[in-house]
Amino acid sequence: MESADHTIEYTMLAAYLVILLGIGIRSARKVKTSNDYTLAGRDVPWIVVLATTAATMIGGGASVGFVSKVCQVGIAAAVVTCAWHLQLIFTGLFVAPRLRGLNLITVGDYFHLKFGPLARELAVINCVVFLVGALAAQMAAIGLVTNTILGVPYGTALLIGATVTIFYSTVGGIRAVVTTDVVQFVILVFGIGVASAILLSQSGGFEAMQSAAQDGQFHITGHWSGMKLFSLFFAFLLGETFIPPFVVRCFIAKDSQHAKWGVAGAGSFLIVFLPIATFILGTSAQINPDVQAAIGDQKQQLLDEAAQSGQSLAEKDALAQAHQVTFPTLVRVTFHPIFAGVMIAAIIAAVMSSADSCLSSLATVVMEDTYRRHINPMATDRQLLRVAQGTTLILGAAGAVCAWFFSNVADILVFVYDFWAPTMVLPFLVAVFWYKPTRIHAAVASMIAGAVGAVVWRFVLKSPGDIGPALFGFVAAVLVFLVAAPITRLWAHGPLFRPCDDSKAEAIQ
Amino acid sequence: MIPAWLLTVLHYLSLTSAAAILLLLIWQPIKRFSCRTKTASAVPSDQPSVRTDDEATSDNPYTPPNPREEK
Repeated sequence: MESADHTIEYTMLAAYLVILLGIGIRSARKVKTSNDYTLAGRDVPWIVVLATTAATMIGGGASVGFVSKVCQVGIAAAVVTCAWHLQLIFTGLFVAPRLRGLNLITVGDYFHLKFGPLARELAVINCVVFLVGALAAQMAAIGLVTNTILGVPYGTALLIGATVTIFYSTVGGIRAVVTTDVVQFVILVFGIGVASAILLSQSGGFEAMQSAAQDGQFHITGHWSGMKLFSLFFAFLLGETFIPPFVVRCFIAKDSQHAKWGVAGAGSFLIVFLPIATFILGTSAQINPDVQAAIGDQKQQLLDEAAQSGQSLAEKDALAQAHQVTFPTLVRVTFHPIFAGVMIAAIIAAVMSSADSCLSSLATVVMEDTYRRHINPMATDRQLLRVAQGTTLILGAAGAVCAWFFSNVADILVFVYDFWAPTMVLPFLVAVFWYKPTRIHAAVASMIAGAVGAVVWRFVLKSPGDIGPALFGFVAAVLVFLVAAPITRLWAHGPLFRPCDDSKAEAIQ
Repeated sequence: MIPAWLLTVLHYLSLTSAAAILLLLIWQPIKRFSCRTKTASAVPSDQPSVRTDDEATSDNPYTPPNPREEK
């Protein structure tokens, strides 16, 4: 019976991968220029922007990861994820229309427009570090999730998943990424929505669930301290704010209004849909004896493997790792094999949609901010297209190789989040809401201070207490900005601090 | 402690919004297909067909202005 169920799951997954390859080939026919490849011709309607933004947001962490977190710590884990969706609503309502109105291509372009070439180069370095880290983490997640769910060896799963993702991203660019995102979004929302409704009905409603669940499962802070909840909420709020995959979603929209409602709509939809669905799935897993038995077996297996290989693994750590099987086991023990197959495909879809967005954004940054700016400023559009395609292929392969050697997804993601928020979020806010040419030096100083603060807090002071490097670095950036703004107000704009067009930058305000 | 009735309301809201978004997404290709079919049936067979706006944008040779020049 079990092998028959696995055959159905493999078949569903294979069908899904073939559909993705077909979308890649179909999208490639529509790609004629670098504009098509990196910006989808800037003609994407708001509902599609909504779907692609939401699919990018729901990665392996937001689906599999947080269902297991809710199972362990309660509703607090679902509450924390609201921070991701809030930042999307904010970005959509207040930032997306302005960004789309400028007809830019990358985050670096925006920083150059506002703060000059030095800020641009700092922003480009941040984007590359973030995207390389996020790409490697999502590639590793493809291998890990497939390995955990289907038992396929990590290397084989990584090879197949990465090959399909790299193929459709390389041939179809952002057009293929957006189209596959829409398919992934439909599968995810349908699968998670139906699963949550069935599980809640089987449990007899929230009141019955509450009486069967552990104490604290329905408490707002769960098993966390208030400070930990605040620190995590803050890290999630700023960790993904204005990251390149979401900024690109603003650039590809038909116009400012489509960008606004697409991105804000994605945040509004996710904040209503995902936390409650995640909570139902996680709590159902906690009260399901079959799932708890599977987690116990997995924990014992991890402890045995660690003992055999002579490694030390604490029981608490083994239990945390064993919770990775929560979501797939819940799906298998609760649903018909065909629906379980759809859900398995949905989980893998969630990870792939995040990986392809990172890959596409990275190729755009390399093409626009490195190749066209520093290597070949007179490049023809055909050359730019070839560079973007070659970059997608090479960096995709490099990301897969990195994922082969560094498979700790959480550590890689935490590392890149720690550096994005302190260096990029404050200057972005200044550029959008409080921009004055007299604040350029202070903004650049805050970027440097944020990076230094995060490095010192993480590597020198070893992140004391429950305060993360992102929070400390962000506070350092704010303080430096407040101190530097009045001091540097009258400083002349040297070549490194001169916006690409002062009059245009002022006219935008 | 979050009350059960509030979670129930939120769950209904989440399912309704999911259904609405999925319908909106599915409606897009259906609308495009129905426009195409309507146009095709309105054109006599001995005359060249007229393309709808949707079709014209989907595969026309027009290249959007280069953003580098716009800048």
